[in-house]
Amino acid sequence: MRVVIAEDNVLLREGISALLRDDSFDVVAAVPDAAQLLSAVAALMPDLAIVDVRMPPTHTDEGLRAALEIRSRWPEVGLVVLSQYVEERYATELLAGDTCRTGYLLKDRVADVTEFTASLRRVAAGGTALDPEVVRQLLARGRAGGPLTRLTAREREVLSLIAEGHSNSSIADTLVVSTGAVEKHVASIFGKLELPPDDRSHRRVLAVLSYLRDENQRS
Amino acid sequence: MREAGRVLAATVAPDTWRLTAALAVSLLPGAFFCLAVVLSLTLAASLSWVVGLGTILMALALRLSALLAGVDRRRVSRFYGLTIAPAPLPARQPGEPMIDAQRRWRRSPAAWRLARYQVIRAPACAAAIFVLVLCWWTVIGLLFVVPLRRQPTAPAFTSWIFGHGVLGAGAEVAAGLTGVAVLLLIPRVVRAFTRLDAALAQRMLGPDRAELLAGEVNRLAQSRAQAIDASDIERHRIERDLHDGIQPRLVSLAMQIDRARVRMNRDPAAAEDLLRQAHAGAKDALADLRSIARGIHPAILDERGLDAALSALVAGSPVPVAVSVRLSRRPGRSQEAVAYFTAAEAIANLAKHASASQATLRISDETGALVVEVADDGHGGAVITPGGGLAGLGGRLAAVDGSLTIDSPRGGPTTVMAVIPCES
Repeated sequence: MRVVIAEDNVLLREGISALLRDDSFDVVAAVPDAAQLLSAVAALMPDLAIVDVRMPPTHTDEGLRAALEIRSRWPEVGLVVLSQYVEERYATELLAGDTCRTGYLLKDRVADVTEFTASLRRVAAGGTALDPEVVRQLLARGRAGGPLTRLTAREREVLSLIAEGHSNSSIADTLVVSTGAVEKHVASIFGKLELPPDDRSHRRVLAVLSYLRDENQRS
Repeated sequence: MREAGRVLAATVAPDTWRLTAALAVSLLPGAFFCLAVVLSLTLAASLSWVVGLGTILMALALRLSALLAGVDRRRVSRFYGLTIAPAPLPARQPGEPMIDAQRRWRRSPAAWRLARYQVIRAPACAAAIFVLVLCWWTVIGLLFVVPLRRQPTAPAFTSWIFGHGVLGAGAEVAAGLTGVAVLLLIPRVVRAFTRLDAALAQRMLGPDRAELLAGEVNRLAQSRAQAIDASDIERHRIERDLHDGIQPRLVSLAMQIDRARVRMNRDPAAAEDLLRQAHAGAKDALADLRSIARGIHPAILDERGLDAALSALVAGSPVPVAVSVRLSRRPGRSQEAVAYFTAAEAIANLAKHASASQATLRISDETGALVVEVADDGHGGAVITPGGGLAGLGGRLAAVDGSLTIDSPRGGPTTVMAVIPCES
């Protein structure tokens, strides 16, 4: 898998490159700012771009803006945005409309090498990787007495994993249960939240996220 | 005899003549100023029934008196060495209609006070000069003309100034004594009049008590806002330091450890190498943390004061800095901190931007205020950009009533100077 990395901190840029090469990713370019990222993507058409939100010159959100530009110009390029903070608001901007081939992760997640590379593979394969912290923020604001409060603890866990972008089999692995048990939880959750059942993984992420966002706006 | 000499000396002393001249200078242009102000105000008042025009003319007349007040302020400073702050006059606010600004002139107590000054001052000065002329007249008459009159060939002018007739001997002695007494009084009279002139100017040309207080409140509000800005900039800087300095180190440290874990069985040599890197990385992170903590507030500053803290600071500077700290006593905590951070920011800046080969840092309190001066031989061109380090510094200084001046011509050298008043 061909990857472009945009990260201004030399230590992290080298570190991420090294860890991806360990895991047989093909790092075709590693650049320190948004302008070089855009030209690298245009020239190399990678499968995946890993983008730091905060980069020179202004050190605010140029990485996020570059990511949105990549999304609109080259939708087939997978995007994983790394941030020093994860904010539900940024996630909303990035995932607006489509969650395909998109990841939004706390920068710290690169430290869990196995999970990080799994997230990258999921995104490159057309899925979603949303940071657990964002999902936590989304879930935390459920209304008292709203449909979310009717979920069991296990169902909430499953819902979080769906929102993070995991497939049923991945959820089963994480929770150490059978795929059949996961499917039963998913059906129950979608029933309680009155969402149309949908097996395609990225569609259901979108459904769950927009449900959670609406729920937040209502609360 | 010696007493008489002193009296005479005082009368002819340059000071008396200088002050007399000061009164004359106050009167002569003052008469024209008075005329100009009275005429223009009268004109404005007589046309006040023309809507709008009256207001504009009135404002113009008041502006004229404000202009003349400036001339008088300079005169007072020149002759009496008295510095009078300008009275707070209405300034046109951005976007304000012209006519509203004129109305504010008409309602401004300070503007009317300046006009009143011009109206009062000329007659008052004329009266003073009249009294002085009368004094001299008396002295000349009693001391010189009366004796002259006894000569058979008394000059003709003595009769058309002082009339005819010869006094008796007793009356002549009395006249002489009176003349001496008046002569003795003249320097005092002159000094009293000039003091009145100066007091009048000070009362009416400067801000009054309420205006002074209002100005002070404004200044305080401004410096408080700047202090808040400064602390905002500061918090932003700390957040950046933590996230751009420490966080990547810790993330990459954790990453290396996890990569080592993954490789532990497959490739123990590579895993060991990664762990060695991680160990070095952890120590670097500690060093970074220490320097960030120092940047937030150096503990040594509280414990050992400026000299010690600055030694530690310049030891870390890539550009050699010669330090001289001359303090007669230890400044207050907040003054000390502001002085330290001014020096730290200036030194960080010159290392980053000036391409200087050497620098000097001088701190002293000889003038009563704490003065921090950082000079370098770099290429100059330093400016205060909003939101930048120097702007933050300005805000910090304003919070302790200090000031920041930067002299940095293109091509260098650069001098950054901060003056921090000490709490008395």
